Amino acid sequence: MRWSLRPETAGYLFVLPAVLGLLAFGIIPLIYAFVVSLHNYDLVNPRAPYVGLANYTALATDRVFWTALRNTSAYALMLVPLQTAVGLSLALMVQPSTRWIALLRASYFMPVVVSYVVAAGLWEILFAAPNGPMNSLLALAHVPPQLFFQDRHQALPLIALMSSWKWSGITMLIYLSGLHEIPAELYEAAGVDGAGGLRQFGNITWPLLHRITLFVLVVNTIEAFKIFTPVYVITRGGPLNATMVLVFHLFREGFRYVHLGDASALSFVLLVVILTLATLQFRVLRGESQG
Amino acid sequence: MNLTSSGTNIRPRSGLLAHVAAGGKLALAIIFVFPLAWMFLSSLRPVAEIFQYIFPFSLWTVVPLHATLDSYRHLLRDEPFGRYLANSLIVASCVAAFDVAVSSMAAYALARIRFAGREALFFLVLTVMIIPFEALLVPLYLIVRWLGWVDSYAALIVPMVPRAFSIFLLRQFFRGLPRELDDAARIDGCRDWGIYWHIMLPLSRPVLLSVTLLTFQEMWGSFTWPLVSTNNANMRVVQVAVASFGQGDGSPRRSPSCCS
Amino acid sequence: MRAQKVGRAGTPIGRRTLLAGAAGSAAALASGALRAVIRTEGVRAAPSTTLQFWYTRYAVPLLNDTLDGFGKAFEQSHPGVKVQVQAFPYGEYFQKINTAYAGNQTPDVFFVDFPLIANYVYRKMIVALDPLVAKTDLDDYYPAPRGDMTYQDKIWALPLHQSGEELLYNVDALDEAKIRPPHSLDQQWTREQFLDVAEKVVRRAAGRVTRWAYATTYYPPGLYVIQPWLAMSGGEILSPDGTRATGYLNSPATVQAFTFWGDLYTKRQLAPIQPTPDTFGTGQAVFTQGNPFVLRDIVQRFHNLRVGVTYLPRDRRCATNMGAYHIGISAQTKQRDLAWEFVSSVTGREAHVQWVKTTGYLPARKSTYAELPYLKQYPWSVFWDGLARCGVPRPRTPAFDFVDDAVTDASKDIQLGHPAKPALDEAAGKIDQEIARYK
Repeated sequence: MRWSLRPETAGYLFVLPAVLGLLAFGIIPLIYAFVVSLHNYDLVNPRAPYVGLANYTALATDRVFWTALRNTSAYALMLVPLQTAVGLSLALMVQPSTRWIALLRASYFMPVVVSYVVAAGLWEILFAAPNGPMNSLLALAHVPPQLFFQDRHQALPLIALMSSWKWSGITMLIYLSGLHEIPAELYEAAGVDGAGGLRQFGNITWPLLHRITLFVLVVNTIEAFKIFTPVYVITRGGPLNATMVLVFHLFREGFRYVHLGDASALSFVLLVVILTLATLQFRVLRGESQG
Repeated sequence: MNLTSSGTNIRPRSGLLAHVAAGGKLALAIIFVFPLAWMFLSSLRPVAEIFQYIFPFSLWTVVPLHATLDSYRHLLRDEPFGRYLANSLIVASCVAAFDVAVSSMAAYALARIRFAGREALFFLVLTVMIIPFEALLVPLYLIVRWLGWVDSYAALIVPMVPRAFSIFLLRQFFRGLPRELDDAARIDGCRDWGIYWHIMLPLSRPVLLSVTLLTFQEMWGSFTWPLVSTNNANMRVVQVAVASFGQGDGSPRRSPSCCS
Repeated sequence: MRAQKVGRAGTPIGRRTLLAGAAGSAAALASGALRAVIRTEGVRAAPSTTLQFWYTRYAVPLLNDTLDGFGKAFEQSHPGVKVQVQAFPYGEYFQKINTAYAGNQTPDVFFVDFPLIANYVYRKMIVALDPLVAKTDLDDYYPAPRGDMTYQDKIWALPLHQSGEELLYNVDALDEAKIRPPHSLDQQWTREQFLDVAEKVVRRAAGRVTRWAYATTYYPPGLYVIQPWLAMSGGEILSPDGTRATGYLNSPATVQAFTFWGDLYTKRQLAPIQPTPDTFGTGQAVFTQGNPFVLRDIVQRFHNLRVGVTYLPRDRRCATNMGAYHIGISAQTKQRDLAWEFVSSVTGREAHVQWVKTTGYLPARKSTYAELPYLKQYPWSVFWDGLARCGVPRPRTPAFDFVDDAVTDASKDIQLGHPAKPALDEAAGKIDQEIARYK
């Protein structure tokens, strides 16, 4: 029997499985976390006292929170442009697919495959101070020993560098999928018109990648604000809170000190910050081209 | 790795420029691979040698002096590592497969079908993507426990589907596909399912592959959730097993709060 | 717009509601069925009682095997009982226990790291053992372990062993420098003597250190590692009742002692801020700080290294850190008696001997010490004297993890060459705020 649905109904059916999953394992826990954030909850007392927004107002006077917010923003400002640019460049570089290029592509993608914890531990050792392998290599060039992750000015940029080493492969992959969708005829036509590589990029590739770039920027921003693993593994927020970031602060509060109320409040602040940023990115970038 | 095979050959280059470009690409590849190569080569060393030749720099900083497969032998001997690998493989494959199916359907609707609440739904997807997993860990555990799933594959697989990231990525791609295709299909009598199945999916093969691959790798690397949601060693995944190798008493890798 | 037109043609009114309803009930059914299926599968065909025991996984397989073996032995002596022994990574063990606790699923019996006893007690995660432990058995424990297991006048967990850190040294490096470290407490080095030795054995080339005098085994060095260096000069971390850090952690004595320790790093360049693993084992540092278990581990892994043990230096007094893994019973267990039987078998005299022999740790029981004559000889004698005469317990507070982090963070600043006083003032202030939350 053939029967057709109202498009609305079809839409709901298409999203139903996803919505069920998102609700059950995303939104319901989220609501629970919100309720927790309104209580003085410490995993002991099932009837934790309701404290209203006290956990939120406490954040305002929490110096570590402000440091974490500043550091996380600085980190995002370093990471997002870096990873996006590197990812796009890599994608453009490995465009024409030959056997050698496939090998290059695999090399650029390789750090993505390694577990984050392992990768972070690896960088910790490579950049150990003052006698780790990297310092040892630099000594060949008579560079004095660097403190790297122990230095309050180098630590955060180094983590950004590490993350972009780890994740640029994903950005590359996403851009590659985008490049693949650009019809070859467009380039052929441009080629006939005698447009050079740079102009082709400016006139065809970049505009057509707009939607993907929007995606990449939004995702990279979200991921940047959620930075946790390398901080957890390598610096634990130090030295001098130079790498104290929001999710690490949240983790420490929630799981080490068992201040679940504070941690939940923190996660909602984080949520609002990122949602605002993402919405802004959508607005700005959509304004440029018809999204 | 050959995910895209695009014909967009952008620029024909002059000889010198091509060489410089090739050199640059190679240098980059070395930067990307070197740390991992170092790690791999270290794994071929006897335990006592791993950190022996780090300073000052010499050939032996990189190359093992006495190569051995001891580390791997230990790994396989001391642990039911095959079981852990199988668990990781099962979990990562299932999540990847379910996720790409569920996410692509949702993404299609979000990109192509107009229905009330679509924007709200997209907002929901973003929200789930943003909230740090650490904030959800306890409630998620309580839900899974209520379902009676602790220590089961269901606990490792079901809550991970769908990934908001996949929905978002696929939605962006589907939106980029020309609308004319839908219209043509509709004229040919296709309904939404037909368009999704016969047009969207075949046209998005590269990105579907990317999504599957990325989900697989994400799940393969996941650690916190498997640790919390399973107790039984039979359910252990590779990352949890590996995490305990470098830790514990007598291990120099981590500083325990107590070391007694 | 076009899509809508196509769709509307064949859709009878009400289909949408119908479908939504159907989908909803299908989902409910599915989840119910799923629950049923998984549940029945999940029930471990349990003709018998199951006892859960969790511990933190050791890097040395033999120890894990020994603990697993305790489970097996218990099964044999208790037919019908199945012991599920599970090991988890140290770094995430606390998180694991916490989450399990939230879900009312903590194991019946689990490893309790000594400094966390106060926290577990505060949060009612473990039960008091007083009604269960026999007086005669208690008398078998040395006073220090008795102190460790007791909190607020009750006994909460029983130790597997005793342990403390002393100074491990590279014998060849010291022979070369013609230095003979003392092996008896009355000849123990002072801080200043240690500093002299350190200056003699450190090697520098072209402005860089190529061999360090001292490197900690654990990185970053936490409260456990630092505390003896503070205590030897009269430094403290918390007030004796564990409620205040201000006036103790930032007292002049603590500041002075912390400065001495911190100066070993940036200022004197005797110790690496971030040692690569095995700095001592590979001969890149002459001294390290380690317990008997670490000593045994190093000896087993580095065959070419000759290792000696001397006391940590003294200043106004001698000091060594102490503490051990304990085993406690969950407040959530439904089989307290069986759990207690398991605890008493794992911490019992027989098991204690086996565990001490396997690990190299020192015994917490007097009977075990009497049974193992090798403990009276060097190098165990050094650890034993140190513990018995210089042991300093870690502060007892439910906020221990917070205190540990605050001290570790402050120590990082001081190691980097920043003045100790402001760093410790800040840490003390933070700690006081945190402890106030537990009232």
